Amino acid sequence: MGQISKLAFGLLNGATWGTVLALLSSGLNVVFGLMGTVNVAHGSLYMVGAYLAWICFASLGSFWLSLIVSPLAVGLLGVLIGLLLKPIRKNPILSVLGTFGVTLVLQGSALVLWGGTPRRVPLPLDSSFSLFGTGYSFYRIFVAIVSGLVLFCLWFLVERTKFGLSLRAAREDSELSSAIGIPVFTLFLLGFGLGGALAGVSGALIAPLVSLTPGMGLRVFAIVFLIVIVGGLGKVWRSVIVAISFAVFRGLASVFLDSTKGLILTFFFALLVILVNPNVLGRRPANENKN
Amino acid sequence: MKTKTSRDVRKFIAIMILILAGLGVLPFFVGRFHVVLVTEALILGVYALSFDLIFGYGGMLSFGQSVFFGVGAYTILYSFKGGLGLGVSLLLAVFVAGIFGLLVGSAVVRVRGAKFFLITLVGSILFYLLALDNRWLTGGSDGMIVPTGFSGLAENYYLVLGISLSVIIFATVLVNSPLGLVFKMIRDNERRAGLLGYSVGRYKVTAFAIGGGLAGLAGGLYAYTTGFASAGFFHWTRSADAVVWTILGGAGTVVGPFVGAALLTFVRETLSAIMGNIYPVIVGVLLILAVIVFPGGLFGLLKGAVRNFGGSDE
Repeated sequence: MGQISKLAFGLLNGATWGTVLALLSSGLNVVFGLMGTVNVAHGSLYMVGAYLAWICFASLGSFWLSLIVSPLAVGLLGVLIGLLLKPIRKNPILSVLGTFGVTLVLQGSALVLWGGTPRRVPLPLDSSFSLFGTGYSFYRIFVAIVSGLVLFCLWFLVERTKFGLSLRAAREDSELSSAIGIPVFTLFLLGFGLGGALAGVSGALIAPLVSLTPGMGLRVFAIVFLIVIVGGLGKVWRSVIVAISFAVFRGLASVFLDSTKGLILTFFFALLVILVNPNVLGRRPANENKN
Repeated sequence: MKTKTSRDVRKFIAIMILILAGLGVLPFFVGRFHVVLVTEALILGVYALSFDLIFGYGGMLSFGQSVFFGVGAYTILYSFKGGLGLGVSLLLAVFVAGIFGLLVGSAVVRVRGAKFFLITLVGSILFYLLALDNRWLTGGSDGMIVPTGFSGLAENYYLVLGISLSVIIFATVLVNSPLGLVFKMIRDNERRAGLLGYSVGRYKVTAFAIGGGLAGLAGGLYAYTTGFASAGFFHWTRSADAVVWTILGGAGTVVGPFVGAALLTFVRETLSAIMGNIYPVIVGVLLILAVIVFPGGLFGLLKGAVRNFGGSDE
């Protein structure tokens, strides 16, 4: 491969992977940014979504079913986790620990149910187009388009509907919100459901592109959490930009260096961003920085 | 009230002496397998306690403890390769890991809450990847043999037992010292501590350095006992182990982390023989229960049981 085609591959793969990461991180952003609860199990929900896609393919005969089955089932799982977290949802440290427990349960159950051997889902669209003389799969383009559509719907839901307005109000002041009749806990559960559904659909979309293992969720979780934090809480579009630049950077670094070194560099820069400007993460970063 | 407390303390001391006596004669009564298992449990107890000093007393939920564990292990490895003795090597492990704790602590203490969890998690992933990538230094995932000149299982057991006891005494003195009280105040109300004139950041870094040094000691002992160190020592799941043991055993206590580490080491060994992969699920369920139903951990439950046992109430 020449340098130009390497560059093109790095960019394109980064962009596709970036849209899936954006989808995943906006799911986490709904739960963390809009509700202040850290859901460490988010990555494992994505893992469950991916395995459901494998089940749809292997047992029900069609991968495409999973694009409906995964978000519904994983969304339901999200609601259940929300219910479980009710007593500790306002304490960030306890919610990290509790959802880490949920992660261990989900990951361990996946290992018991489906075993540790990597599972593969074949590409559902086998056509490809030529890119600088090498084939590039249409399925990746399909993933990017679907992710973009879902992200647009999410943006619309959060920024342009009454539901989104209540969500944002509950984030600003949950006591005042419940005083004026917003059902804060129901919203909390719906948010967990929505976050779960987004994780589920991301898992299903990515399933044909990676090999599935029970540990895949935890591996991706740190990246997704980083993206949410660097992008800022509550804003979907900023997570999207950070996710795509993160993935493109990593894609290019992996192509030109090797994948471990690429990951090291990416994590290093992300850490620098947070350490140099810890208030990037605050609730109202703009005000905090002014003082 | 006062008599009740002192009776509790007496009962507690009596139980501790019983446990100690049991541990002291253990190698005469059980086989090699169990001596090795108890040795491992004690080392992991020291490791869990090192996390507890940072979390249970310092209030920082760090997922980076494996970094210091790994640093301690490799310090011992290179110290032995350089021909130094066991005592000097262990001290060196504590020192080097303590310096790492100081540096890492200074970088991260400004960050708080859930972000602190994230930044320490990413930090330990970064160290793991670096250890994996620099095979010339660490041997990567295959690891390296530690040239220990190992003396024998029972001798090693008594060495580990002695060190664990010293660590427990050190930690008990530390958490009841003026320094330990400041740690607890910062954990309970950071803003108030700051307003009272304590430089919160400096105390947190101190907690990190002490916790780092102890984790280095545990890592060094572990590498010495197993004769092996690998990049996997840095893996963040090892940090998560310390977190889980401490929470289950009882955070903010000195003995709790040992209870958690010992119990889960035995559960793991027993279950993996009978049921294979079910262990992580059980740990997960216990963790959820611990966080939601009994926040004091097992040690909290045990203390309650001891208190009720002799009918000292009323």
